[in-house]
Amino acid sequence: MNTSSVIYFDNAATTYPKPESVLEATEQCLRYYCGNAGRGAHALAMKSAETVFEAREKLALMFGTTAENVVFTLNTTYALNMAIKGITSRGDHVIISNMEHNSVLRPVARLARDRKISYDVFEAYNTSQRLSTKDITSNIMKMLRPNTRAVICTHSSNVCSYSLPIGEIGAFCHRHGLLFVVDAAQSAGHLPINMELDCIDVLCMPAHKGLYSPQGVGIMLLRQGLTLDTLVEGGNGVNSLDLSMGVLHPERYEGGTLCTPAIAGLCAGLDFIENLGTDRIKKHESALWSRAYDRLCGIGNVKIYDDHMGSVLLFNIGEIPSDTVGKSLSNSGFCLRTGYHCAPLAHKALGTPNGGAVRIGLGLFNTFDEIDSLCDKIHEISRHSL
Amino acid sequence: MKIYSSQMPHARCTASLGSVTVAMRARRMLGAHGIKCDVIKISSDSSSRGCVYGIEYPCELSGSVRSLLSSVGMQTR
Repeated sequence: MNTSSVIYFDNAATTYPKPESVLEATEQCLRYYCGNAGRGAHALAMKSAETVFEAREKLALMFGTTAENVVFTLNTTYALNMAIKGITSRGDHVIISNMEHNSVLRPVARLARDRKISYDVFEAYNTSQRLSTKDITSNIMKMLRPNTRAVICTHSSNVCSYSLPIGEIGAFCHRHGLLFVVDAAQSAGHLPINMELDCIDVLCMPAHKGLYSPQGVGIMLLRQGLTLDTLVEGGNGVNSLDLSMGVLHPERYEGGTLCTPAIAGLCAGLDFIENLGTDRIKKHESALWSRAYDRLCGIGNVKIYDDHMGSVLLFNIGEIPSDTVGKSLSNSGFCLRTGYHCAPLAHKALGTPNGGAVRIGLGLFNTFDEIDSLCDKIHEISRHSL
Repeated sequence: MKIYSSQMPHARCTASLGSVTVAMRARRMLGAHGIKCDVIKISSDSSSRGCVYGIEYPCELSGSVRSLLSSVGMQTR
């Protein structure tokens, strides 16, 4: 398959391409030192452990926690499952937003189906009016019960560029004695996040999206002093004669071998993001978004579902099913995702039709020329549909 | 803190800390205070619960090591 001529706009699913430094770091690990981190004391195991520790330190510094509270998982969904199942006990109640991805909705719904917990959904987004921070915290307040344990919400939607005011929600949670869990799948690397300042207890994110790193690593960051129940038990390289995972973070949560090559790539990805700065990344993506928005607004039968500026733009062309538009774009070399994007609540809040919508997911390596090519093609599809 | 030492000059002592992450954090913290140490695996012979990680450092710095580790709440055994 020749992928050299594709134009990639699915960065909300995973960023592509990756920076050269990330490719090099991943390859170096696989080629020269990929021992099993934390599973021995020989040179390669220790070199791998150094790399993993370096990644923990960089993440801790970037997001405001400590290295031992940086837990590596398989992906963000796994991290969110660990967080949600690790903080709740039978009889608890949790509150989630109406913009959640299935990575939050499904584990919560499963626990509710098993009658372990109950949950409510607060309105964080409304198509008919822009909700203020006060509206949002007031909507959460209405859902509070004596047994409410936590508020769990996304930072930025994966279907549009809307972001929730996590700092204010975090402060609200701490004022009311609630834990605050944030899904930063779409915001890590795009927007500044600080667990301490934003009053976040558990922060979950992928390495392979806004941190421009390989797939295979999710990250769960814990507020210092918070201990969760474990989701998975197994070998963690420490106290092998014990039947429990122990109390030490992060090994308590990390049963099984870590994906060290991807974590090596993550170290380079974090340096890449740090050197560029989230402000610069946001500025570039916003400029691209504005270009796409302006161009698509000029095409009569294109419907755009939200006008918050950012890295995601959701649209449909007339009555054409989103999958049909996606196929047509794919045939011309454009990579975009269509449908519901694993986020039925958000699609409902945005009012997309059956079949969902087409998502443009912008990234650092996209150019204005690519936006223009995409919009030309969308215009062409639109003309043929009339 | 469980410290194993030798009476030899320039002898190396070990402190058992638990996980490799804690040991590396200890090494980073001690390094910032000018104390060079190595992360090592301490075999199950010396622990009833299986292998753990720790640090190895110059015995003459035991006092400083002990006090620095406890100042950051680092649990040693």
